[in-house]
Amino acid sequence: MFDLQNVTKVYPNQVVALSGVTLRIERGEFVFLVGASGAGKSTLVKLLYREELPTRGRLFFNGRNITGLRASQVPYLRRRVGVVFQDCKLLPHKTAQGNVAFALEVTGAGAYLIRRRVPAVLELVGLADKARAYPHELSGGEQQRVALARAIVNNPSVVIADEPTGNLDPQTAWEIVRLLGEINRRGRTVIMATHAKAIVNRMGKRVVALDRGRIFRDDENGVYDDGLL
Amino acid sequence: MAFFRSLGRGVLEALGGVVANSVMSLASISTVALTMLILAGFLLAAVNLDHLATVVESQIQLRVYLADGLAEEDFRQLEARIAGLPGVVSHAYVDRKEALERFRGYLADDQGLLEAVEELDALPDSFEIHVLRPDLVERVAYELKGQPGIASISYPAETVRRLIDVTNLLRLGGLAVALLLTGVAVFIIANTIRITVFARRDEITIMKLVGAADWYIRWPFLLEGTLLGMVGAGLAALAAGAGYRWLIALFFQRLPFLPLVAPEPLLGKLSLVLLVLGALVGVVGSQISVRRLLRV
Ligand SMILES: Nc1ncnc2c1ncn2[C@@H]1O[C@H](COP(=O)(O)OP(=O)(O)OP(=O)(O)O)[C@@H](O)[C@H]1O
Ligand SMILES: [Mg+2]
Repeated sequence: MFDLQNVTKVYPNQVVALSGVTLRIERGEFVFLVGASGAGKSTLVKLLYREELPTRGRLFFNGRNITGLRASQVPYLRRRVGVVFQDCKLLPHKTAQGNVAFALEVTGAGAYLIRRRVPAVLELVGLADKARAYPHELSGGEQQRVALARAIVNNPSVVIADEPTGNLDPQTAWEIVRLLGEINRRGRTVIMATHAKAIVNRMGKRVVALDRGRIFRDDENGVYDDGLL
Repeated sequence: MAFFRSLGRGVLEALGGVVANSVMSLASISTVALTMLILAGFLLAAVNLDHLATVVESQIQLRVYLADGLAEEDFRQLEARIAGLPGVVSHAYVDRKEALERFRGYLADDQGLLEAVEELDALPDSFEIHVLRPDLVERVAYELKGQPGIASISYPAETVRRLIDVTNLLRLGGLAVALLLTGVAVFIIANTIRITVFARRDEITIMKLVGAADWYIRWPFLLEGTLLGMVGAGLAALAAGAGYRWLIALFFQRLPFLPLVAPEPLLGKLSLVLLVLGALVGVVGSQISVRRLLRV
């Protein structure tokens, strides 16, 4: 699904966030991206939905080189990649269902489809009863679940979550990851960047560990090993 | 379907932008209105001068002003020469008293101007000559030029030339002023839209990240700019129309012989031109800001 070949990302301020990253992620996988703060997790994630472009190297999505994607094609890539952002990025003046519907509206979806899909995904993330609440009326975990609902409402083939459990207590964090597991079980690829060791170990999924912009470990059924980080 | 849905959304958002940003919106509308009003003034003046030139050009009359203190003998000779020129249909002697009398008829109520004309002795004795066709006027004038006893000749071609000079000057000046003012209008609309875009930058970022197409994000802003431009132009068209009607009425009362262009088809066309221009100014202005600010 994603195929990164020797990808390097140097930011305009000369910070080398990723260097020579080669990584394949297959359809239907659940992958944890782990690493210390500043290791380059968010940078790698941003390359996948083309918020950032690689400085060197090639990056394929479903066999298509997305480095050379025309600007007019980028929206269509983003509709197939659902993203849960590190900071949620919910619109404060829209309700939970408004925020979820927004992602459908901008694709030109019809009212009928929106009326059907939005309650369904809110139900899936367990927020059916908070559909009319505004983000400031929701807890951190609930906001993350709204963000997750928004990420999947377009029925993308892959869901990318950048530290969706950042500020959550272990129980709430686990709820979110369980939801991602459920989404993966229903056939979508899931990529999650995280610091949460306990969760990674408990899930027993593939773990890609980054250190200062390089992949230094890539294990199936991996664990988040303190000693090496 | 999808098209009409986003049409509705775009219109609502554009109106919302105008309302949320009312101070700047008002500023842009008035700038555009002022710009278009000045432009309208230039256009109306140019159209009228053009019209005047055509009217004058179609005249079959010329006037020969006589030198003061012309001897009886010279007068007779001159009159005979005029009568004998090919193309001359008739001629009439108009002495200064009669000229003043006629002028008084035109300007019945402007005592001040009449007195000034009388004082200056601005209307000397003259021959009024009628020729067969407009194109003969200049020939006759040419034949008479330099004849003894003639102070000056006033004929359409000369007036037309002067009118065209004035019209060209007006066109050039009008164009320069219009370009400058249009630039100002574009600039202020660009700034207004920039503020709206800035106020909604979070929403735009999220729109981009969840896969909104570029045009979907852009076009409410373009619509907002177009709206501002067209409202401004509409106001200018109304003001220019009212002003022109008022001027026409005034001229008709005081200088009824002045051939002015009737307001009817003219003002309709003018409004159309102004509205199209206003829309263009709006589109260009908003496009500038949207292009610059929508890069995510
Ligand atoms: N837009 C940017 N411009 C310049 N440098 C950046 C930018 N974004 C990230 N960096 C730098 O790139 C490096 C990697 O950052 P990145 O955000 O990918 O790390 P991370 O692994 O996600 O960290 P965290 O766990 O704290 O979120 C850091 O040194 C960071 O300072
Ligand atoms: Mg990060």
